[in-house]
Amino acid sequence: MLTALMPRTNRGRETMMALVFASPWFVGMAVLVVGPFFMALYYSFTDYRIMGDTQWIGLANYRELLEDDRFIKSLKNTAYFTALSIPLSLIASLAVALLVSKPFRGSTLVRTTIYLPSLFGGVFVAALASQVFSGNYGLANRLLAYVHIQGPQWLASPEWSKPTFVILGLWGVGAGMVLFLAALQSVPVHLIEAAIVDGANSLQRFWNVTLPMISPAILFQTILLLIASFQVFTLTYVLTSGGPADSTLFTVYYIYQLSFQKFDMGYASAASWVLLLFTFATTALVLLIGSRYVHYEFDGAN
Amino acid sequence: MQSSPTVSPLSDVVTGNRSRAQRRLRSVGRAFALTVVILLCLLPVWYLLSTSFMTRDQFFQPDVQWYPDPFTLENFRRAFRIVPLDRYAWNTLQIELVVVPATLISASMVAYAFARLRWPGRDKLFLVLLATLMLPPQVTLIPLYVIFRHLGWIDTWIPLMLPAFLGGNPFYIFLIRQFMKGIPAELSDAARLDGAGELRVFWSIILPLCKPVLAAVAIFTFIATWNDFFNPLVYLQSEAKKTFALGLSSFTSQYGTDVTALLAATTLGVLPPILLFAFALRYFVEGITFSGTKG
Repeated sequence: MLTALMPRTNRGRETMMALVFASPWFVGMAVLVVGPFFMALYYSFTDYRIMGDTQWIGLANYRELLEDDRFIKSLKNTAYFTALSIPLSLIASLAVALLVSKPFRGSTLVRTTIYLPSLFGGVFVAALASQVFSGNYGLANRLLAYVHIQGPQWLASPEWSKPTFVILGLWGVGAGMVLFLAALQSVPVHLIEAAIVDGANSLQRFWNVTLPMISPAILFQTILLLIASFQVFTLTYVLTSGGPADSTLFTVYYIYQLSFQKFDMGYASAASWVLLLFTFATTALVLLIGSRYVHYEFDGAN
Repeated sequence: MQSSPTVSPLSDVVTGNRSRAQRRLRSVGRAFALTVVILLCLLPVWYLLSTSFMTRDQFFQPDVQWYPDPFTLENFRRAFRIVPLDRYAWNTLQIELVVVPATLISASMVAYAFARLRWPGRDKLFLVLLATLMLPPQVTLIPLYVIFRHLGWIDTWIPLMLPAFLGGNPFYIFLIRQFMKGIPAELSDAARLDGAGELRVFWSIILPLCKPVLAAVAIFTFIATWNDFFNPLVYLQSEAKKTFALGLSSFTSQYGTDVTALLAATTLGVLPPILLFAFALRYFVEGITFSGTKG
Protein backbone atom coordinates (compact mmCIF):
# COMPACT_ATOMS: atom_id res chain seq x y z
CA MET A 1 0.00 0.00 0.00
CA LEU A 2 1.32 3.37 -1.00
CA THR A 3 -0.06 5.19 2.01
CA ALA A 4 1.90 2.89 4.28
CA LEU A 5 5.11 4.30 2.82
CA MET A 6 4.15 7.88 3.52
CA PRO A 7 5.73 9.70 6.47
CA ARG A 8 4.20 9.28 9.87
CA THR A 9 2.88 12.85 10.07
CA ASN A 10 0.39 12.01 7.32
CA ARG A 11 -1.33 9.67 9.74
CA GLY A 12 -2.19 12.58 11.97
CA ARG A 13 -3.44 14.54 9.01
CA GLU A 14 -5.52 11.61 7.85
CA THR A 15 -7.14 11.40 11.27
CA MET A 16 -7.83 15.12 11.16
CA MET A 17 -9.45 14.81 7.74
CA ALA A 18 -11.48 11.82 8.87
CA LEU A 19 -12.85 13.81 11.78
CA VAL A 20 -13.77 16.61 9.40
CA PHE A 21 -15.52 14.22 7.01
CA ALA A 22 -17.33 12.39 9.78
CA SER A 23 -18.26 15.60 11.61
CA PRO A 24 -21.91 15.66 10.40
CA TRP A 25 -22.41 12.27 12.02
CA PHE A 26 -20.65 13.27 15.26
CA VAL A 27 -22.79 16.38 15.55
CA GLY A 28 -25.90 14.36 14.66
CA MET A 29 -25.11 11.74 17.27
CA ALA A 30 -24.63 14.37 19.96
CA VAL A 31 -27.57 16.60 19.07
CA LEU A 32 -30.15 14.13 17.74
CA VAL A 33 -29.34 10.88 19.55
CA VAL A 34 -27.18 10.85 22.68
CA GLY A 35 -28.30 14.21 24.11
CA PRO A 36 -32.04 13.60 23.69
CA PHE A 37 -31.59 10.01 24.88
CA PHE A 38 -30.37 11.14 28.31
CA MET A 39 -32.75 14.09 28.40
CA ALA A 40 -35.60 11.59 28.03
CA LEU A 41 -34.17 9.62 30.94
CA TYR A 42 -34.04 12.78 33.03
CA TYR A 43 -37.59 13.81 32.07
CA SER A 44 -38.84 10.38 33.05
CA PHE A 45 -38.00 11.21 36.68
CA THR A 46 -39.84 14.52 36.57
CA ASP A 47 -43.28 16.01 36.36
CA TYR A 48 -42.94 18.06 33.20
CA ARG A 49 -45.85 19.48 31.29
CA ILE A 50 -44.18 21.83 28.78
CA MET A 51 -45.85 24.83 30.45
CA GLY A 52 -44.56 25.50 33.94
CA ASP A 53 -41.76 24.03 36.02
CA THR A 54 -40.04 20.72 35.89
CA GLN A 55 -40.32 18.92 39.20
CA TRP A 56 -38.13 16.00 40.23
CA ILE A 57 -40.45 13.25 41.41
CA GLY A 58 -38.10 10.27 41.41
CA LEU A 59 -39.67 6.98 40.39
CA ALA A 60 -43.25 8.20 40.69
CA ASN A 61 -43.85 8.06 36.92
CA TYR A 62 -42.64 4.49 36.73
CA ARG A 63 -44.76 3.49 39.70
CA GLU A 64 -47.78 5.06 38.07
CA LEU A 65 -47.06 3.18 34.83
CA LEU A 66 -47.21 -0.13 36.67
CA GLU A 67 -50.79 0.64 37.62
CA ASP A 68 -51.80 2.28 34.37
CA ASP A 69 -54.21 -0.20 32.78
CA ARG A 70 -54.09 1.47 29.40
CA PHE A 71 -50.28 1.35 29.37
CA ILE A 72 -50.29 -2.35 30.27
CA LYS A 73 -52.94 -2.93 27.63
CA SER A 74 -50.84 -1.08 25.05
CA LEU A 75 -47.83 -3.28 25.85
CA LYS A 76 -49.98 -6.40 25.53
CA ASN A 77 -51.39 -5.19 22.22
CA THR A 78 -47.89 -4.46 20.95
CA ALA A 79 -46.64 -7.87 22.04
CA TYR A 80 -49.64 -9.62 20.45
CA PHE A 81 -49.16 -7.74 17.19
CA THR A 82 -45.42 -8.47 17.16
CA ALA A 83 -45.84 -12.15 17.94
CA LEU A 84 -48.44 -12.58 15.23
CA SER A 85 -46.96 -10.43 12.49
CA ILE A 86 -43.27 -11.34 12.60
CA PRO A 87 -43.52 -15.11 11.97
CA LEU A 88 -46.14 -14.57 9.27
CA SER A 89 -44.10 -11.85 7.56
CA LEU A 90 -40.94 -13.94 7.67
CA ILE A 91 -42.61 -17.02 6.24
CA ALA A 92 -44.53 -15.10 3.60
CA SER A 93 -41.58 -13.07 2.38
CA LEU A 94 -39.29 -16.10 2.30
CA ALA A 95 -41.90 -18.16 0.46
CA VAL A 96 -42.43 -15.42 -2.10
CA ALA A 97 -38.67 -14.99 -2.52
CA LEU A 98 -38.31 -18.73 -3.15
CA LEU A 99 -41.12 -18.58 -5.71
CA VAL A 100 -39.41 -15.88 -7.77
CA SER A 101 -35.74 -16.60 -7.05
CA LYS A 102 -35.05 -18.51 -10.25
CA PRO A 103 -35.18 -16.34 -13.37
CA PHE A 104 -38.08 -17.01 -15.71
CA ARG A 105 -39.80 -15.07 -18.46
CA GLY A 106 -41.12 -11.87 -16.91
CA SER A 107 -39.52 -12.47 -13.51
CA THR A 108 -38.36 -8.85 -13.22
CA LEU A 109 -41.91 -7.67 -13.81
CA VAL A 110 -43.27 -10.14 -11.25
CA ARG A 111 -40.75 -9.09 -8.61
CA THR A 112 -41.45 -5.43 -9.24
CA THR A 113 -45.19 -6.07 -8.96
CA ILE A 114 -44.79 -7.81 -5.61
CA TYR A 115 -42.58 -4.96 -4.42
CA LEU A 116 -45.09 -2.32 -5.56
CA PRO A 117 -47.17 -2.21 -2.32
CA SER A 118 -44.00 -1.51 -0.33
CA LEU A 119 -43.81 1.86 -2.05
CA PHE A 120 -47.11 2.89 -0.46
CA GLY A 121 -46.54 5.05 2.59
CA GLY A 122 -48.40 4.24 5.81
CA VAL A 123 -51.01 6.97 5.38
CA PHE A 124 -51.84 5.82 1.88
CA VAL A 125 -52.13 2.19 2.96
CA ALA A 126 -54.40 3.36 5.76
CA ALA A 127 -56.63 5.40 3.45
CA LEU A 128 -56.96 2.48 1.08
CA ALA A 129 -57.51 -0.01 3.90
CA SER A 130 -60.26 2.11 5.40
CA GLN A 131 -62.28 1.30 2.27
CA VAL A 132 -61.07 -2.23 1.47
CA PHE A 133 -61.77 -3.36 5.03
CA SER A 134 -64.91 -1.40 5.62
CA GLY A 135 -67.37 -3.84 7.16
CA ASN A 136 -70.37 -2.81 5.08
CA TYR A 137 -69.29 -1.90 1.57
CA GLY A 138 -65.56 -2.80 1.64
CA LEU A 139 -63.95 -4.76 -1.17
CA ALA A 140 -62.86 -7.57 1.17
CA ASN A 141 -66.34 -8.39 2.38
CA ARG A 142 -67.88 -8.03 -1.07
CA LEU A 143 -65.39 -10.56 -2.41
CA LEU A 144 -66.06 -12.86 0.53
CA ALA A 145 -69.77 -12.58 -0.20
CA TYR A 146 -69.06 -14.18 -3.60
CA VAL A 147 -68.10 -17.37 -1.80
CA HIS A 148 -70.94 -16.93 0.69
CA ILE A 149 -68.79 -15.91 3.61
CA GLN A 150 -70.08 -13.20 5.88
CA GLY A 151 -66.92 -11.14 6.48
CA PRO A 152 -66.17 -9.66 9.91
CA GLN A 153 -66.28 -5.98 10.75
CA TRP A 154 -62.46 -5.90 10.48
CA LEU A 155 -61.17 -2.64 11.93
CA ALA A 156 -64.41 -1.95 13.77
CA SER A 157 -64.28 -5.21 15.69
CA PRO A 158 -62.08 -5.67 18.78
CA GLU A 159 -61.31 -9.29 17.78
CA TRP A 160 -60.37 -8.52 14.18
CA SER A 161 -58.70 -5.13 14.42
CA LYS A 162 -55.22 -6.44 15.24
CA PRO A 163 -55.33 -9.28 12.68
CA THR A 164 -56.37 -6.68 10.09
CA PHE A 165 -53.25 -4.69 10.95
CA VAL A 166 -51.22 -7.87 10.45
CA ILE A 167 -52.82 -8.38 7.03
CA LEU A 168 -51.93 -4.81 6.10
CA GLY A 169 -48.36 -5.52 7.15
CA LEU A 170 -48.30 -8.63 4.97
CA TRP A 171 -49.22 -6.51 1.99
CA GLY A 172 -45.69 -5.08 2.24
CA VAL A 173 -44.14 -8.53 1.92
CA GLY A 174 -42.11 -7.32 -1.07
CA ALA A 175 -39.57 -5.47 1.07
CA GLY A 176 -38.63 -8.67 2.87
CA MET A 177 -38.68 -10.54 -0.43
CA VAL A 178 -35.96 -8.27 -1.83
CA LEU A 179 -33.72 -8.94 1.16
CA PHE A 180 -34.22 -12.70 0.89
CA LEU A 181 -33.69 -12.66 -2.87
CA ALA A 182 -30.29 -11.09 -2.37
CA ALA A 183 -29.50 -13.70 0.28
CA LEU A 184 -30.72 -16.60 -1.88
CA GLN A 185 -28.56 -15.46 -4.75
CA SER A 186 -25.48 -15.55 -2.57
CA VAL A 187 -25.97 -19.24 -1.72
CA PRO A 188 -23.03 -20.95 -3.50
CA VAL A 189 -24.20 -23.14 -6.36
CA HIS A 190 -21.51 -25.73 -5.62
CA LEU A 191 -23.11 -26.48 -2.24
CA ILE A 192 -26.48 -27.14 -3.86
CA GLU A 193 -24.81 -29.30 -6.48
CA ALA A 194 -22.96 -31.24 -3.81
CA ALA A 195 -26.26 -31.88 -2.06
CA ILE A 196 -27.79 -33.12 -5.30
CA VAL A 197 -24.82 -35.42 -5.83
CA ASP A 198 -25.41 -36.78 -2.34
CA GLY A 199 -29.01 -37.54 -3.30
CA ALA A 200 -30.76 -34.87 -1.26
CA ASN A 201 -34.28 -34.06 -2.42
CA SER A 202 -35.43 -30.48 -2.74
CA LEU A 203 -36.89 -30.31 0.76
CA GLN A 204 -33.67 -31.66 2.24
CA ARG A 205 -31.65 -29.24 0.14
CA PHE A 206 -33.73 -26.34 1.39
CA TRP A 207 -33.58 -27.43 5.01
CA ASN A 208 -29.92 -28.40 5.18
CA VAL A 209 -28.24 -26.09 2.68
CA THR A 210 -30.32 -23.07 1.71
CA LEU A 211 -31.82 -22.30 5.10
CA PRO A 212 -28.52 -22.33 7.03
CA MET A 213 -26.88 -20.24 4.30
CA ILE A 214 -29.53 -17.53 4.44
CA SER A 215 -29.98 -17.66 8.23
CA PRO A 216 -28.04 -14.41 8.79
CA ALA A 217 -30.53 -12.64 6.50
CA ILE A 218 -33.42 -14.18 8.43
CA LEU A 219 -32.00 -12.95 11.73
CA PHE A 220 -31.39 -9.50 10.26
CA GLN A 221 -34.93 -9.29 8.88
CA THR A 222 -36.38 -10.52 12.19
CA ILE A 223 -34.69 -7.68 14.02
CA LEU A 224 -35.81 -5.11 11.45
CA LEU A 225 -39.39 -6.36 11.75
CA LEU A 226 -39.17 -6.42 15.51
CA ILE A 227 -38.11 -2.80 15.76
CA ALA A 228 -40.70 -1.75 13.17
CA SER A 229 -43.56 -3.57 14.87
CA PHE A 230 -42.71 -2.00 18.23
CA GLN A 231 -43.10 1.31 16.38
CA VAL A 232 -46.48 0.71 14.78
CA PHE A 233 -48.26 4.05 14.81
CA THR A 234 -49.54 5.49 11.55
CA LEU A 235 -52.20 2.83 10.93
CA THR A 236 -53.57 3.29 14.43
CA TYR A 237 -53.56 7.06 14.16
CA VAL A 238 -55.34 7.19 10.82
CA LEU A 239 -57.59 4.15 11.00
CA THR A 240 -58.69 3.46 14.55
CA SER A 241 -57.36 6.05 17.02
CA GLY A 242 -56.55 3.08 19.23
CA GLY A 243 -60.05 1.64 19.18
CA PRO A 244 -62.36 -0.19 19.23
CA ALA A 245 -62.21 -0.76 22.99
CA ASP A 246 -58.47 0.07 23.01
CA SER A 247 -57.82 -3.05 20.92
CA THR A 248 -55.33 -1.20 18.70
CA LEU A 249 -53.91 1.01 21.41
CA PHE A 250 -50.24 0.33 20.74
CA THR A 251 -47.56 1.75 23.01
CA VAL A 252 -46.14 4.33 20.62
CA TYR A 253 -49.65 5.63 19.99
CA TYR A 254 -50.29 5.82 23.73
CA ILE A 255 -46.99 7.70 24.18
CA TYR A 256 -48.10 10.06 21.43
CA GLN A 257 -51.40 10.68 23.24
CA LEU A 258 -49.63 11.31 26.53
CA SER A 259 -47.05 13.67 25.08
CA PHE A 260 -48.80 15.56 22.30
CA GLN A 261 -52.41 15.52 23.38
CA LYS A 262 -52.05 15.66 27.16
CA PHE A 263 -48.57 17.26 27.14
CA ASP A 264 -47.59 15.06 30.07
CA MET A 265 -43.97 14.92 28.88
CA GLY A 266 -42.42 13.43 32.01
CA TYR A 267 -44.85 10.53 32.20
CA ALA A 268 -44.63 9.97 28.44
CA SER A 269 -40.82 9.87 28.67
CA ALA A 270 -41.04 7.20 31.34
CA ALA A 271 -43.37 5.19 29.09
CA SER A 272 -40.96 5.58 26.17
CA TRP A 273 -38.07 4.34 28.30
CA VAL A 274 -40.04 1.28 29.35
CA LEU A 275 -40.82 0.57 25.69
CA LEU A 276 -37.13 1.05 24.87
CA LEU A 277 -36.13 -1.49 27.52
CA PHE A 278 -38.68 -3.94 26.15
CA THR A 279 -37.33 -3.42 22.65
CA PHE A 280 -33.75 -3.97 23.82
CA ALA A 281 -34.66 -7.04 25.84
CA THR A 282 -36.55 -8.62 22.95
CA THR A 283 -33.82 -7.78 20.45
CA ALA A 284 -31.18 -9.23 22.78
CA LEU A 285 -33.26 -12.37 23.21
CA VAL A 286 -33.64 -12.78 19.46
CA LEU A 287 -29.92 -12.24 18.95
CA LEU A 288 -29.12 -14.76 21.67
CA ILE A 289 -31.41 -17.41 20.20
CA GLY A 290 -30.24 -16.45 16.74
CA SER A 291 -26.57 -16.87 17.56
CA ARG A 292 -27.23 -20.55 18.33
CA TYR A 293 -28.82 -21.27 15.00
CA VAL A 294 -27.40 -18.74 12.60
CA HIS A 295 -24.66 -20.04 10.38
CA TYR A 296 -21.92 -17.60 9.43
CA GLU A 297 -19.96 -18.70 6.39
CA PHE A 298 -17.76 -15.62 6.26
CA ASP A 299 -16.22 -13.63 9.06
CA GLY A 300 -17.76 -10.27 9.80
CA ALA A 301 -15.01 -8.38 7.98
CA ASN A 302 -17.34 -6.38 5.79
CA MET B 1 -39.87 -37.06 -4.15
CA GLN B 2 -36.64 -39.03 -3.90
CA SER B 3 -34.25 -38.15 -6.68
CA SER B 4 -31.74 -40.70 -7.88
CA PRO B 5 -28.18 -40.21 -6.66
CA THR B 6 -26.65 -39.80 -10.11
CA VAL B 7 -24.58 -36.74 -10.93
CA SER B 8 -26.69 -33.94 -12.33
CA PRO B 9 -25.37 -31.30 -14.66
CA LEU B 10 -25.55 -27.71 -13.44
CA SER B 11 -28.57 -26.86 -15.55
CA ASP B 12 -30.50 -29.54 -13.71
CA VAL B 13 -30.04 -27.87 -10.35
CA VAL B 14 -33.57 -26.51 -10.29
CA THR B 15 -35.37 -29.69 -11.03
CA GLY B 16 -33.09 -32.48 -9.95
CA ASN B 17 -33.82 -35.74 -11.69
CA ARG B 18 -37.52 -35.91 -11.12
CA SER B 19 -39.89 -37.35 -13.61
CA ARG B 20 -41.61 -35.24 -16.17
CA ALA B 21 -45.02 -35.46 -14.51
CA GLN B 22 -43.60 -34.38 -11.18
CA ARG B 23 -41.87 -31.45 -12.80
CA ARG B 24 -45.03 -30.36 -14.55
CA LEU B 25 -47.07 -30.68 -11.36
CA ARG B 26 -44.53 -28.58 -9.56
CA SER B 27 -44.44 -25.83 -12.17
CA VAL B 28 -48.23 -25.69 -12.28
CA GLY B 29 -48.30 -25.37 -8.50
CA ARG B 30 -45.71 -22.64 -8.65
CA ALA B 31 -47.60 -20.72 -11.32
CA PHE B 32 -50.77 -20.99 -9.28
CA ALA B 33 -49.09 -19.72 -6.10
CA LEU B 34 -47.49 -16.85 -8.02
CA THR B 35 -50.83 -15.88 -9.53
CA VAL B 36 -52.41 -15.73 -6.09
CA VAL B 37 -49.57 -13.58 -4.74
CA ILE B 38 -49.71 -11.19 -7.68
CA LEU B 39 -53.49 -10.90 -7.41
CA LEU B 40 -53.26 -10.10 -3.70
CA CYS B 41 -50.67 -7.43 -4.45
CA LEU B 42 -52.45 -5.88 -7.41
CA LEU B 43 -56.12 -6.15 -6.48
CA PRO B 44 -56.03 -3.33 -3.90
CA VAL B 45 -54.01 -1.20 -6.32
CA TRP B 46 -56.55 -1.76 -9.10
CA TYR B 47 -59.39 -1.05 -6.65
CA LEU B 48 -57.71 2.24 -5.68
CA LEU B 49 -57.15 3.27 -9.27
CA SER B 50 -60.56 2.29 -10.61
CA THR B 51 -62.51 3.75 -7.70
CA SER B 52 -60.72 7.08 -8.18
CA PHE B 53 -62.42 7.38 -11.56
CA MET B 54 -65.86 6.11 -10.45
CA THR B 55 -68.98 8.08 -9.69
CA ARG B 56 -70.18 7.91 -6.12
CA ASP B 57 -73.36 6.24 -7.31
CA GLN B 58 -71.44 3.42 -8.91
CA PHE B 59 -69.14 3.05 -5.91
CA PHE B 60 -72.06 2.42 -3.57
CA GLN B 61 -73.64 -0.25 -5.77
CA PRO B 62 -74.04 -3.48 -3.78
CA ASP B 63 -71.83 -5.58 -6.11
CA VAL B 64 -68.10 -5.38 -6.67
CA GLN B 65 -67.47 -2.73 -9.31
CA TRP B 66 -64.50 -3.87 -11.36
CA TYR B 67 -63.98 -0.78 -13.51
CA PRO B 68 -65.33 2.77 -13.68
CA ASP B 69 -68.47 3.10 -15.79
CA PRO B 70 -68.97 5.95 -16.51
CA PHE B 71 -65.46 7.29 -16.25
CA THR B 72 -65.22 10.56 -14.31
CA LEU B 73 -62.60 13.02 -13.08
CA GLU B 74 -65.06 14.54 -10.65
CA ASN B 75 -63.41 12.84 -7.63
CA PHE B 76 -60.12 14.58 -8.32
CA ARG B 77 -61.85 17.94 -8.70
CA ARG B 78 -63.64 17.48 -5.40
CA ALA B 79 -60.46 16.29 -3.67
CA PHE B 80 -58.68 19.50 -4.66
CA ARG B 81 -61.64 21.54 -3.43
CA ILE B 82 -61.83 19.77 -0.06
CA VAL B 83 -58.15 20.11 0.83
CA PRO B 84 -55.34 22.07 -0.89
CA LEU B 85 -53.60 19.02 -2.37
CA ASP B 86 -51.49 21.14 -4.72
CA ARG B 87 -50.21 23.15 -1.75
CA TYR B 88 -49.40 19.94 0.16
CA ALA B 89 -47.55 18.49 -2.83
CA TRP B 90 -45.57 21.66 -3.42
CA ASN B 91 -44.65 21.83 0.30
CA THR B 92 -43.38 18.26 0.22
CA LEU B 93 -41.38 18.91 -2.95
CA GLN B 94 -39.72 21.95 -1.38
CA ILE B 95 -38.70 19.81 1.61
CA GLU B 96 -37.40 17.12 -0.76
CA LEU B 97 -35.31 19.69 -2.63
CA VAL B 98 -33.39 20.33 0.58
CA VAL B 99 -33.45 16.89 2.18
CA VAL B 100 -32.31 14.80 -0.79
CA PRO B 101 -29.15 16.79 -1.74
CA ALA B 102 -28.27 17.38 1.93
CA THR B 103 -28.54 13.67 2.69
CA LEU B 104 -26.42 12.74 -0.33
CA ILE B 105 -23.62 15.11 0.64
CA SER B 106 -23.55 14.54 4.39
CA ALA B 107 -24.03 10.77 4.21
CA SER B 108 -21.32 10.32 1.59
CA MET B 109 -18.90 12.51 3.60
CA VAL B 110 -19.41 10.34 6.66
CA ALA B 111 -19.23 7.18 4.56
CA TYR B 112 -15.94 8.40 3.09
CA ALA B 113 -14.42 8.78 6.55
CA PHE B 114 -15.51 5.24 7.46
CA ALA B 115 -14.62 3.61 4.15
CA ARG B 116 -11.47 5.27 2.87
CA LEU B 117 -9.60 6.92 5.73
CA ARG B 118 -7.75 5.28 8.57
CA TRP B 119 -8.14 6.71 12.03
CA PRO B 120 -8.18 5.39 15.57
CA GLY B 121 -11.54 4.08 16.80
CA ARG B 122 -13.03 3.96 13.31
CA ASP B 123 -14.27 0.40 13.39
CA LYS B 124 -15.72 0.66 16.88
CA LEU B 125 -17.57 3.83 15.95
CA PHE B 126 -18.91 2.11 12.87
CA LEU B 127 -20.47 -0.51 15.12
CA VAL B 128 -22.02 2.33 17.11
CA LEU B 129 -23.43 3.72 13.87
CA LEU B 130 -24.96 0.34 13.04
CA ALA B 131 -26.36 0.07 16.55
CA THR B 132 -28.21 3.38 16.17
CA LEU B 133 -30.22 1.69 13.42
CA MET B 134 -31.85 -0.29 16.19
CA LEU B 135 -32.68 2.70 18.35
CA PRO B 136 -36.44 3.31 18.43
CA PRO B 137 -36.99 6.95 17.47
CA GLN B 138 -39.77 7.56 19.95
CA VAL B 139 -37.29 7.72 22.84
CA THR B 140 -35.60 10.82 21.48
CA LEU B 141 -38.84 12.32 20.21
CA ILE B 142 -39.97 14.17 23.31
CA PRO B 143 -36.61 15.86 24.08
CA LEU B 144 -36.22 16.79 20.41
CA TYR B 145 -39.67 18.32 20.43
CA VAL B 146 -38.76 20.30 23.55
CA ILE B 147 -35.47 21.48 22.01
CA PHE B 148 -37.07 22.49 18.72
CA ARG B 149 -39.82 24.25 20.62
CA HIS B 150 -37.28 26.29 22.57
CA LEU B 151 -35.64 27.25 19.29
CA GLY B 152 -38.98 28.36 17.88
CA TRP B 153 -38.87 25.71 15.17
CA ILE B 154 -42.30 24.17 15.75
CA ASP B 155 -44.54 24.59 12.72
CA THR B 156 -41.50 25.10 10.50
CA TRP B 157 -39.82 22.60 8.18
CA ILE B 158 -36.47 22.86 10.00
CA PRO B 159 -37.03 19.78 12.22
CA LEU B 160 -37.82 17.76 9.08
CA MET B 161 -34.72 19.01 7.25
CA LEU B 162 -32.08 19.15 9.97
CA PRO B 163 -31.31 15.39 10.20
CA ALA B 164 -30.47 15.35 6.48
CA PHE B 165 -27.53 17.67 7.15
CA LEU B 166 -26.25 15.41 9.91
CA GLY B 167 -25.76 12.20 7.97
CA GLY B 168 -29.42 11.31 7.50
CA ASN B 169 -30.48 7.72 8.05
CA PRO B 170 -27.48 5.63 9.25
CA PHE B 171 -28.57 2.94 6.83
CA TYR B 172 -27.69 5.19 3.89
CA ILE B 173 -24.24 5.88 5.36
CA PHE B 174 -23.83 2.11 5.63
CA LEU B 175 -24.86 1.55 2.00
CA ILE B 176 -22.52 4.21 0.61
CA ARG B 177 -19.67 3.02 2.82
CA GLN B 178 -20.04 -0.54 1.54
CA PHE B 179 -19.94 0.73 -2.03
CA MET B 180 -16.91 2.97 -1.40
CA LYS B 181 -14.97 0.09 0.12
CA GLY B 182 -15.24 -1.68 -3.21
CA ILE B 183 -13.33 1.05 -5.06
CA PRO B 184 -9.62 0.11 -5.37
CA ALA B 185 -7.37 2.01 -2.94
CA GLU B 186 -4.83 2.59 -5.72
CA LEU B 187 -7.15 5.17 -7.31
CA SER B 188 -7.10 7.53 -4.35
CA ASP B 189 -3.46 6.73 -3.49
CA ALA B 190 -2.38 7.72 -6.99
CA ALA B 191 -4.32 10.97 -6.79
CA ARG B 192 -2.80 11.75 -3.40
CA LEU B 193 0.71 11.15 -4.75
CA ASP B 194 -0.11 13.59 -7.52
CA GLY B 195 -0.78 16.14 -4.82
CA ALA B 196 -4.56 16.03 -4.64
CA GLY B 197 -5.98 17.00 -1.25
CA GLU B 198 -8.42 14.75 0.57
CA LEU B 199 -11.38 16.92 -0.39
CA ARG B 200 -10.41 16.65 -4.04
CA VAL B 201 -9.98 12.88 -3.85
CA PHE B 202 -13.42 12.66 -2.30
CA TRP B 203 -15.17 15.01 -4.68
CA SER B 204 -13.44 14.31 -8.00
CA ILE B 205 -12.38 10.68 -7.74
CA ILE B 206 -14.60 8.77 -5.32
CA LEU B 207 -17.98 10.49 -5.57
CA PRO B 208 -18.28 10.20 -9.38
CA LEU B 209 -17.67 6.46 -9.05
CA CYS B 210 -20.44 6.18 -6.46
CA LYS B 211 -23.21 7.32 -8.80
CA PRO B 212 -25.20 4.05 -8.68
CA VAL B 213 -25.38 3.91 -4.89
CA LEU B 214 -26.00 7.66 -4.65
CA ALA B 215 -28.91 7.31 -7.07
CA ALA B 216 -30.37 4.53 -4.94
CA VAL B 217 -29.95 6.56 -1.74
CA ALA B 218 -31.51 9.62 -3.41
CA ILE B 219 -34.55 7.59 -4.41
CA PHE B 220 -34.93 5.91 -1.01
CA THR B 221 -34.61 9.28 0.69
CA PHE B 222 -37.17 10.88 -1.60
CA ILE B 223 -39.67 8.08 -1.02
CA ALA B 224 -39.11 7.97 2.74
CA THR B 225 -39.56 11.75 2.99
CA TRP B 226 -42.65 11.70 0.81
CA ASN B 227 -44.22 8.93 2.87
CA ASP B 228 -43.12 10.24 6.28
CA PHE B 229 -46.10 10.81 8.50
CA PHE B 230 -44.91 10.85 12.10
CA ASN B 231 -42.46 13.75 11.96
CA PRO B 232 -44.74 16.13 10.02
CA LEU B 233 -47.57 15.19 12.40
CA VAL B 234 -45.50 16.13 15.44
CA TYR B 235 -43.82 19.25 14.09
CA LEU B 236 -46.31 20.87 11.70
CA GLN B 237 -49.57 22.51 12.64
CA SER B 238 -50.78 25.05 10.11
CA GLU B 239 -52.58 23.89 6.99
CA ALA B 240 -50.31 26.01 4.80
CA LYS B 241 -47.22 24.03 5.84
CA LYS B 242 -48.49 20.46 5.80
CA THR B 243 -46.92 17.76 3.67
CA PHE B 244 -48.98 15.57 1.37
CA ALA B 245 -49.01 12.56 3.68
CA LEU B 246 -50.06 14.66 6.65
CA GLY B 247 -52.63 16.59 4.62
CA LEU B 248 -54.24 13.35 3.48
CA SER B 249 -54.89 12.33 7.09
CA SER B 250 -56.75 15.57 7.82
CA PHE B 251 -58.83 14.69 4.77
CA THR B 252 -59.97 11.46 6.40
CA SER B 253 -60.77 13.00 9.75
CA GLN B 254 -62.78 15.93 8.41
CA TYR B 255 -64.42 14.54 5.32
CA GLY B 256 -64.44 10.81 5.95
CA THR B 257 -67.66 10.41 4.05
CA ASP B 258 -66.40 11.53 0.63
CA VAL B 259 -64.80 8.17 -0.03
CA THR B 260 -64.18 8.40 -3.76
CA ALA B 261 -62.50 11.80 -3.39
CA LEU B 262 -60.31 10.40 -0.63
CA LEU B 263 -59.26 7.51 -2.86
CA ALA B 264 -58.56 9.90 -5.73
CA ALA B 265 -56.29 11.90 -3.42
CA THR B 266 -54.63 8.65 -2.30
CA THR B 267 -53.96 7.75 -5.93
CA LEU B 268 -52.21 11.08 -6.40
CA GLY B 269 -50.26 10.46 -3.20
CA VAL B 270 -48.82 7.10 -4.21
CA LEU B 271 -47.98 8.24 -7.73
CA PRO B 272 -44.68 10.10 -7.09
CA PRO B 273 -42.93 7.18 -5.34
CA ILE B 274 -44.17 4.70 -7.95
CA LEU B 275 -43.19 6.86 -10.92
CA LEU B 276 -39.78 7.57 -9.44
CA PHE B 277 -39.22 3.91 -8.70
CA ALA B 278 -40.30 2.82 -12.17
CA PHE B 279 -38.09 5.45 -13.76
CA ALA B 280 -35.07 4.43 -11.67
CA LEU B 281 -35.56 0.68 -11.70
CA ARG B 282 -32.41 0.13 -13.70
CA TYR B 283 -30.32 1.79 -11.00
CA PHE B 284 -31.43 -0.70 -8.42
CA VAL B 285 -28.32 -2.78 -8.05
CA GLU B 286 -28.69 -4.28 -11.44
CA GLY B 287 -28.87 -8.02 -11.48
CA ILE B 288 -28.94 -8.49 -7.73
CA THR B 289 -32.53 -8.10 -6.78
CA PHE B 290 -34.90 -7.19 -9.55
CA SER B 291 -33.58 -8.18 -12.95
CA GLY B 292 -32.80 -11.75 -11.98
CA THR B 293 -30.14 -12.30 -14.63
CA LYS B 294 -27.76 -13.68 -12.06
CA GLY B 295 -28.72 -17.16 -10.99
